[in-house]
Amino acid sequence: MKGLNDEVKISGQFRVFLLMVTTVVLLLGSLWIWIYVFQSVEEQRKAEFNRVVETTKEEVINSLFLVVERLYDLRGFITSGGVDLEKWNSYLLATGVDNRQPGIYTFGYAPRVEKKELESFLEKIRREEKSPMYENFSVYPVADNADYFPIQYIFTRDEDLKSFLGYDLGSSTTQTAAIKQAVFEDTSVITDLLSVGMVIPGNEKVGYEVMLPVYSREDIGELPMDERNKYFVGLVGTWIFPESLIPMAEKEEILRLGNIKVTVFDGDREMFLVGNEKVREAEVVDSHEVILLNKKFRFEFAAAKSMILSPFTERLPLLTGIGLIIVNLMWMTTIYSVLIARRRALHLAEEATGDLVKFKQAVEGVSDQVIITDIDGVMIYVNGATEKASGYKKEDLVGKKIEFLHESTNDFSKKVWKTIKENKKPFWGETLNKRKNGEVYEAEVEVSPIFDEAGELIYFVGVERDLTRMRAMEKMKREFLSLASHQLRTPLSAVKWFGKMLLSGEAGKLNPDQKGYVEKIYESNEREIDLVNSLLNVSRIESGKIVVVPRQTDLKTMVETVVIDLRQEADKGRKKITLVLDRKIPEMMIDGDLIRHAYSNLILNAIRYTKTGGKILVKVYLDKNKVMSEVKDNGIGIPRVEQKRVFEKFFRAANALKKVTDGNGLGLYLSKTIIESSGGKIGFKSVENKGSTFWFSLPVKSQERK
Amino acid sequence: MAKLLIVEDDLILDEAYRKKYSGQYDIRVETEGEGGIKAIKSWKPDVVLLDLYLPGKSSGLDVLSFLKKDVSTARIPVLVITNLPDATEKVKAMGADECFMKTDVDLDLIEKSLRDILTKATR
Repeated sequence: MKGLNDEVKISGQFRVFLLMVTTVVLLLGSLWIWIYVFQSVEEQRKAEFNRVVETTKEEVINSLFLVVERLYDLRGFITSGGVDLEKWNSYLLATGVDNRQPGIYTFGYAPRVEKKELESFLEKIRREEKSPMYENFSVYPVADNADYFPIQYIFTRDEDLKSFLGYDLGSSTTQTAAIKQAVFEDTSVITDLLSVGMVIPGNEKVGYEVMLPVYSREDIGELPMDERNKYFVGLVGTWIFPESLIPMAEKEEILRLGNIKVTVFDGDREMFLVGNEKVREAEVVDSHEVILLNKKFRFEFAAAKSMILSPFTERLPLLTGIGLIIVNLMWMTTIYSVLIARRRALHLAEEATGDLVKFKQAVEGVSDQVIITDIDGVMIYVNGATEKASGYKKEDLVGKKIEFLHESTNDFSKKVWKTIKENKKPFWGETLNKRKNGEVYEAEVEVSPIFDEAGELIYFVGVERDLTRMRAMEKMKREFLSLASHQLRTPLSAVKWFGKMLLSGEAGKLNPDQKGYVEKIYESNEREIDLVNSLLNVSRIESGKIVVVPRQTDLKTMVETVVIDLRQEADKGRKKITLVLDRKIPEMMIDGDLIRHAYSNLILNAIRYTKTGGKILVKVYLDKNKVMSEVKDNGIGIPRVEQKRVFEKFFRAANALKKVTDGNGLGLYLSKTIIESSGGKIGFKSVENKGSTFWFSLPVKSQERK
Repeated sequence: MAKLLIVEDDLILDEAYRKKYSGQYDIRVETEGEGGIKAIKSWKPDVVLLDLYLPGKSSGLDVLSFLKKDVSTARIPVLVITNLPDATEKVKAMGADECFMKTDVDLDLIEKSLRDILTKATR
């Protein structure tokens, strides 16, 4: 059976599938976003790094250019007006070169001193220069050159560099060659790396000297190269610390960026310029060769991956990752809780619908017909048994009124509706139903109104049971009882007949004892016969087979006969029967045999359940269009609690059981059935230990044969 | 003496009939329906005491029906003495003169009824 439950499951499974797909898409999307951000940041980092590299290169070249420019200015100044210490210092202070010169600037002037003039040159300086620093002026290192280039003037902020006063720029052969080259080409040259340690032992500072030849003629550029040496009078130079190649602003920028290290290589010699020295395992290394004044330098830019960009940008991949993980986790938590909730809901639904399914299967499969109708009696559900009993398919029945299945009269329907709809009580009864093939069958029906929580009627549930089989069973039972009673009666009649013969003395006179014993046998037999007859009657009544045959009957005579017959019985207990008969009672159409049975039953009961000397009043009178009969006694009465059950089959009141042991509990049941079958009513009033009055009424008018 | 045909399968009751009536009637007893029919045909009884529930092919009702169909026997009065319930109406409609439940009567009552019937028949 594919039910609602399964549909829910299937659509649910589809939803779960969608959730899973969404989750995967979200995960992949997150990964993609993260990679994108990561790559963007990396690209930005690369761009930033490249920018630093490019800017630094440019700045280095610019710095050098600026230095050289200063040297040209200085040369012009010297060429045009000569130089002394005072002029030199004031000129440099006035031009404010230190504002533009990168790093600690140092300018020097070294005149060209021929070997033969060296002594006079030294003397002249010692004589002319007033500053105390010239007192011990000498040229060093001592070398045997054709020309000397001792630094005569120096302008510096670095006290160490002041020691270079008197240093011969042409003291090494490479430098001499460089100077020659510079003079020849009228260009600036840069020395090899010089160490301050040369003049100040232990000083670790190193640097370069950039030199520009000074000529005695201003138009030197127009002279042929080989003539330039004639007019060559000295050198202007500037000291450059390697780290000063990068201007302050650029340094600050690099330092701000953090993990970048810039080093310069002069040949194999590595010099740290600026940045974070701790960058060891650089992840990005960019190496650039720069030719400065014909000298090759290699700048190396190393960067650790981190901290190049702004902290926010640097952390962006991490932050994005965390954000995405949080989003994913939240999503998964949601999914999880949704799935858990769904599973629980499914579980609960399974439990709930499981019960529902069970109920439905039970109702569907039960052998009784179950029909649910709306409050107007339109069928909204019928079970399998209904289909089977009626012969109609469910779809033929649902939507039709319940009367569609009924053969019963309108009166019956009205009675049912009144009970269930107006009185809102369950109805129970028997009805006639009709099958599709036209067959009419008896059914027991119970209809219950169903209310909602507010007490509003919502529908009716009818349970009907096809009585056909039961009726067949009853018939079999009846036939069995009929035959059984026949078989039982046969020996009883033999006992009766022979007993009677014995008692009549036909077979010889009996002595008193014998007679007494035979009488006991006879009476017991009579009781047995009575019981068998009653049982048979019950079986006949229950099968509806009791046949009322109304005949013109003189009720008065009949009652008199019964009373006379029973008076004998009453006399035994000295009980008095009084009969009051209304002479106006006409002849009636009744079944005399049955009514007589009812009278004799009630009167016999009165005799039986009255104490010795008791009084019994039988009163029959006309009351409008019916005849009332009363049998009143002052006997043991019926206990109040048992009064309801008096007319039940085989019922015997507790006090009656003690009083009379041979009653069979069928008399009143039969009487009630007889009277009601004859169109009358029966009832009683009784007070325990005071007495009972049983009454019944019969219609005077003739009755249809049933 | 009037000829009384008794059709009754219960031998004890047959004995009771014999004991009671042999002085007053010329009695013949049959215990099966078939025998009853033969006896009616050949012996021509004056009155028949008939049980309904009988062994063999023919029941008491068959015997009654046979008797009433044949013109030569139709006038023979029949007293149905049975223990089958609800028979009275039916057998009287079929022509039986009287019908008693065995347990409701005794031999004296039956004899009285027999006499009445015979008196009526001979009248």
